[in-house]
Amino acid sequence: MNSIWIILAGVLATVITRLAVLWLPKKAKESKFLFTLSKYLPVASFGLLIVYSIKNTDISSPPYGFPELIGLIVVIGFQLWKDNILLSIASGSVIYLLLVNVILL
Amino acid sequence: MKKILLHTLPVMIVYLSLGFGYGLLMQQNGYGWIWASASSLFVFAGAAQYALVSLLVASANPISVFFLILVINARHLFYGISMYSRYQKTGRYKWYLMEGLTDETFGILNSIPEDDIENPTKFYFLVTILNHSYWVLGSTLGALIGGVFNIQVVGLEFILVALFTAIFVSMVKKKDLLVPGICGLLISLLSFFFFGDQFIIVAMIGIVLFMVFLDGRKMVEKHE
Repeated sequence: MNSIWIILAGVLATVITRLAVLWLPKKAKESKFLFTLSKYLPVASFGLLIVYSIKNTDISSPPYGFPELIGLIVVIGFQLWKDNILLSIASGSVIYLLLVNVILL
Repeated sequence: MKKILLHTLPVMIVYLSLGFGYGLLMQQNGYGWIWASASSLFVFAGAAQYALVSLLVASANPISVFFLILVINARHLFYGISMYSRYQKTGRYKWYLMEGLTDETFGILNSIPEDDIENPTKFYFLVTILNHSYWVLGSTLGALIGGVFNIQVVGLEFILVALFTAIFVSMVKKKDLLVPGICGLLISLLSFFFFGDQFIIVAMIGIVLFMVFLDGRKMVEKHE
């Protein structure tokens, strides 16, 4: 029974964080600051997301985060060179997956 | 439609596999596919759901669960604010679009310049519901047949790192986004070095303060 309450608590917390902006007072929604936020917050959020998604990398034992580093360099390089997001994701991921699953086994 | 499917392809691979892992984990802890599917359908937040598994097993207090998940999901506040003006134009759809705005959906929607989207409401809706479906499908399959498979591909999560990095780079190539982007990254990195796993809230506060600074500076520029 407690399980259902735990899941519901998770649903409620998620709904609140996702919908919070809709419940802001009208004045706040139309403010200039919210406009600045909607312009610059996305790019800053991706900075946060990169750190968030890579933070569990273990750099204290082999392979010391080298596959991640190489993968990232490939992604950044392809993105700067070809400006094609799907291509950058695919090339970086394939090289990373080959490194950790085949080459470094 | 084919183009939209292609855009969501990286998310499809990650959601099917991570969803699969989640379903399997639930099933191994005694929660069958109904639990896994329902959680993925209604919670629809990867990190939170993985955390919920250990909370379920420990039979934690729902009130502390609520606050813990609130902290884990706090970054979603940023996405809501970022997408607010675009979603405002989608009418009733905005409720579902906001509710389904995961890290990855936020990523895909920002990987395409707004002006290149013909029918924004349709595009946002399809990307959101496709990603949602991948996640529910992956979790359900994981709970149902996860035990049968023994193949392990390590490191699929890196696709997400690649996705976020590629979008980040494509954004900072625009002149006015370079400084906010680099600062967002640096603030997050510094917060992580000083606060470890609990860095997100600190980083968010730092980023908001930086935005206040940007907002003030822009006013000054206008004034001049």
